[in-house]
Formats: sequence, C-alpha cells, structure tokens
Amino acid sequence: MNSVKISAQQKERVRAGILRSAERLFRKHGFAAASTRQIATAAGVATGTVFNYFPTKDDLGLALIQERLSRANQDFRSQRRGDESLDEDLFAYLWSCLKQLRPERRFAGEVLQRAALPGAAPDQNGSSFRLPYLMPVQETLTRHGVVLSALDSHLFAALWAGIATFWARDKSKDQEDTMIVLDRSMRLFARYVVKEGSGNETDGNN
Amino acid sequence: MKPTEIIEWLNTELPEQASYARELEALIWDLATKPVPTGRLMRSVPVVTAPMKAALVFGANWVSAALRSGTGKEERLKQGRIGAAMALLAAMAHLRGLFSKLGQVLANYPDVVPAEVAEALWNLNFQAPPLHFSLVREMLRNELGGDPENVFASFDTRAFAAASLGQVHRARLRSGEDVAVKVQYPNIGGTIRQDLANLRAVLSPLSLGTDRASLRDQLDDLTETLSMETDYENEANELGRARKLFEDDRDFAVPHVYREYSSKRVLVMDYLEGVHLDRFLTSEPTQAERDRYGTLILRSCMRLFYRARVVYSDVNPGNYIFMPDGRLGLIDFGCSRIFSDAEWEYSRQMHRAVRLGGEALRAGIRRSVTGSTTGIASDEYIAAIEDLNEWLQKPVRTAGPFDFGDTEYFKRGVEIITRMQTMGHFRYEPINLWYIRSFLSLRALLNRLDCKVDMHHEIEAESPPEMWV
Repeated sequence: MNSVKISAQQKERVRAGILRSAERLFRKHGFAAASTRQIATAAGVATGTVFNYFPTKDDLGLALIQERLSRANQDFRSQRRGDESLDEDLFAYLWSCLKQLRPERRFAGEVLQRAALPGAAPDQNGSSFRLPYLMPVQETLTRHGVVLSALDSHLFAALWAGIATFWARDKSKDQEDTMIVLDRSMRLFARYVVKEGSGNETDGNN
Repeated sequence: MKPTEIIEWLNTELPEQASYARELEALIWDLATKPVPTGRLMRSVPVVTAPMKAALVFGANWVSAALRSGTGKEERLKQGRIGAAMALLAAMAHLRGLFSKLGQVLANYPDVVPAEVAEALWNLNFQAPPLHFSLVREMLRNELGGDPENVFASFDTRAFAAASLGQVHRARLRSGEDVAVKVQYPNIGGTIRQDLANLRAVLSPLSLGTDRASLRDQLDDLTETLSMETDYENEANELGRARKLFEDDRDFAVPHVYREYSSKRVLVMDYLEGVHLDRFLTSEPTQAERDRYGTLILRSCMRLFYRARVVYSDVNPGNYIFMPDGRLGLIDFGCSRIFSDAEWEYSRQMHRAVRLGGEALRAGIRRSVTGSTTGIASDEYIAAIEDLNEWLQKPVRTAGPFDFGDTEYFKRGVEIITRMQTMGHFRYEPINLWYIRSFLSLRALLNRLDCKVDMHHEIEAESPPEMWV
C-alpha cells in the first residue's frame, strides 16, 4: 500500500510539473508554437511520458483551463434567473467561460478553437459534445427542449471556434466586440435550431 | 446615395421610371416626417440618431456629386470609390435602419439604380436587437463595477425604452428614488469612430475639384459631434445645464442625474412619469392641450438656443415626456450641440441679416456658403436659401398663433431643403447643417402635434435684444 501511495504522489508531481511547463511555454509562445517535446524537456521527462498523462496536446491545454471553466459554470448557474431565452442562456454561459479565461487569452483561444469540434454523433450519454466544459451547453439546450442533430452540433462548434478565435485577438475594451459577436452568433444559432417544424421549442422553458 | 439624390437621378436619367420616383418620394416623406419609434423596443431599435442621419446624408452628398462629374478614366476611378463608399455607408450598422426601408423598395427595381447602390441597399434588413439582460449586466459591471442586483435596490431586467445608442431600464436606488438607467450598446463608440475613419479614407479622394478644407472641417465637426454623443458624461453635463435653465419654470421638468451611478456609457437619472408623443396623441387631446404642449416644446427649444446657445440636432419626439401633471419633461440631450463664440457671432449676424432681408441677407448667404460675404455662390442656390428663409420666417411673421398642423406648409419646407441638397454645395459653416436639421425636425414635430403656436411671441420672449443688433 505504501509503495502505491508514493507512486500516486510521484504521478501527481510529474503531472503538475508537465502542466507548469506547458503553461509557461503556452503563455510565452502560444498554444500551437509550443511543442510537446519542448514541454517534456522543460518538465524534465520524456516526450512519451507527457502522452501517458495527456493523450493529446488538446487535453493538456484543456487541463490547464479546466479550473477556470469550472468557475465559469458556477458563475453561470448562480446568475440564472429562470426566464432567459435560449440565446441569452447560451450567451451567458459562454461569455462566463471567456471572462474566466481572460488571463490566459494568449493560448486559451487556440485551445477552445481546437477542442470545440464535436464527436460525429451523440455519445452514449446522449451528449452532442465530447468535452465536459460544453455540458452546460447541452443542459441548456435540453432545458429549452432542443435536440441537436449531428449537423447542428457541427454548426455550433464552428460558431464557437470562430468566436474563440475572434476573442483571442479582440483588442476592444473588455473584449466588447466579442460580446457582440457572441450575442449575434447565439441569436443566429437559436433561430436555426428552433426553426419551424423541427419540433424544438424555445424561450421560457424552465 | 441620399434619398433626394435617388429621386433626382431617377427623374433625369430614367424619366420613364417616374412612377418609381413618386413611390420613393412618398417613402422619403415618411422618413422625414414619421418619428423614430421609441416605444416598442422589440419591434425596432432606433439606433439611427440624428447626427448619424447627418453622417449618412453628408456621405451620400459626396457620392452623388462624384457621380455627376468627371469623365473617362477619372470617372471609372471614381466609380470604384463610389462603390466602396456606398458599401461603407450601408455597412455603418447604426445607419442601416434609415436605409432599410429604401432598400426594401429599391430591391424591387434592380434596374433603376446603379448596381453598387442597389447592392449596398440590398443587405439592409437589419435592426439592432435589444440587449438581453446578460449583456446589460456585463455593461453595468464594466461601467459601475458591480452587478445591477447589488448596485440598485431593484432593477427591471426588461428595457422600457430605446435611447440614443442604447436602451433604458427602470430601477430603484437603495436610497429609494425611482430612476431610469440608460445603458449604451457594447463598443458602439469604437464602432462609430472606425466607421467614420473609413468614411473619411474613402471620401477624401473624391474631393478633387472641390474644397478639401471644407470637407475636412465638416468631417471633423461630424466626428466631434458623434463622439460627444457616445459620451453620456457629456449628456449628464447638458442635463445639468438644462435643469438649471428650467428650474424656476413650473411648466418643465428636467431629470436629476445621479453622477455616482453614471459613467461615460451609463446614465442614471430621475424617472419621469408620463408618456411620449404617440401615446399622448392616442389619448385624443383637445386642441388647447395640443397648443399648450406645442408652445412648451417650442419654448424649450428657444430657451435652450437663446439662453444656453444649445441647438438640438433633431427635435425628436423621444426627447419629450408628456407628464400627467401637465409639465413637459425634457429627457434627452445626447444630440445637442453648443455653439462656440465664433459660431454664436455668426449666428447673431445671420439673425440680423434675416431680419433686414434684401442685400444684407444675400451677403449673409454668400458668407455662409463661401466663407466670405463677397464669395461667389450660384444665383440658383442663393434663391433656394432665400426661399428657405421665407419658409422659416413665415410662422415668425404671422401675427398670433401659427398653424403648424398645416401639412402643405411643412411639405414646402421639405421641397426647398431637398432642392438645396441636390445643388451640390458642400462648402458652408458646419453649424448650418445643425440649424437646418433642427428647424426641420422641430416643425415636423409641431406638425405631428397638429398645434397652433405663437412663434413670434416665443422668440421675442426668449431672445436677448443683442441678438438683433
């Protein structure tokens, strides 16, 4: 038992070391420019070891921003009134994510953009999105009675990836231009998924 | 292209399309006389404010002038610029409302206008959507440093009115006062600045053969004015000045601004109980009630002008509250402009010239359009300004109340101003643009109110004697 415990601690130390190195290099060079090899070297481990902990670089990036995304979800939940329309609900969650990620904008935009792509079909849990941080989006859609087709999920992913890219480069004060882009995009998306005859419902379904 | 330019273009280039021109004329009449909607926020948000309309007209003037002049290679070069200018004008999000109705009509007649104009007008079924509360919350956090639920005792999540560049919510302060909270659209100031910078870049090369300095002056004036409008602190100052000006007059109410809750993009002021013009008119007021409110509206304009040197660029129904206790509430000063000393002196000289008439008036006109009393302006243009002056002075020269409800009178003014705008004079004092818009919009409002007002008496009562010597 004692040796397992030490091993778990060591594993945690290695994982934390990789995350620290990755964070430093992502902040310095951006997400795409910092290679897994550089991260491994900086963390003092073999490149293969990095992949033992994080199967892809995207997973590494997401792990770095996960804590902030969890806080975003908490903020979103605590501020819901209950009478939001679908587009406002989606806006509120995603903007909450972007606000929490503001200090990591240098690389978080790229992480979000790359990680936004959905699975080809809903997974065994019925989610259209494979990433945990997009679960609140799924829950919001469900709350409004909206069921996404695979095509709808891709449309959302494309919009969100575009918004994340725009946000990463947005020079306007408090990224207000991104606020507008996100708002317009979610209005567009909400209109699209509640289109006539789709059976989907919209506002005030709480 | 400005509506009047489209009409002129149709009449001269495609006379067989005259019926379309008539339809357009009716449309322009609507645009000129119907108020910007302020009540039904969900239906339409009037982001088209007066200075923005002025920006549109200004840009279109240059475009149309370029269309009329030049040949061969120069013409083709200009056409490229014109296409870009039209696309830009159309893309100025805040102007799209004005163009949208025009676009709907013109879209039915694709052969009637140049392709680049039609294309620019085509993509205009745009109305800025109202901000939902999550956006309003972000703006308030950014500006006031806290959530509305924490800053205010209560805050209505739904807007009750649209305002210049934003929307208005009701709220209650922790100290108990009922307030109106005006929240600006996100980054609208930056958008306007960028639009104007682009407009300047595109229009400047078109000024070959015209007066570059005049173009620059007018663009500067427009830029300064629009940036003032995006600054609610400036509006708070104006409200403060106006409140002082009307504080001893029981016929008026000007809301107090709560500076500690206000910023450049959020304005918190007293909520004034009452209705806007539309609701007032549907209550079927008596002629005496209409005349009284018409008199108060005119009096407020005259007082602001003569005593505070302030002119509204657009005497908009949304600026006024018809209060249940009979007072007139003055609530919106975002579109006002204060005269500089030099402009005031110019204005005083024009007042004097108008009163004297004849050669004194013609010299004043020459100065206003050429910068010098001996400058050369076309007889046609001078005649048009004389007509305009006669039209403006008619209510002043009428003994007793003048019937502003006379639609023929108002139409005559629209005709004269339309004629002037098609003559392509661009060099004039920037303040003239404000004068004309203010004169026209005030008369349009009094026309809608269908009231009789003794304008001569009001001017005599409010203007200082030195104005006329």
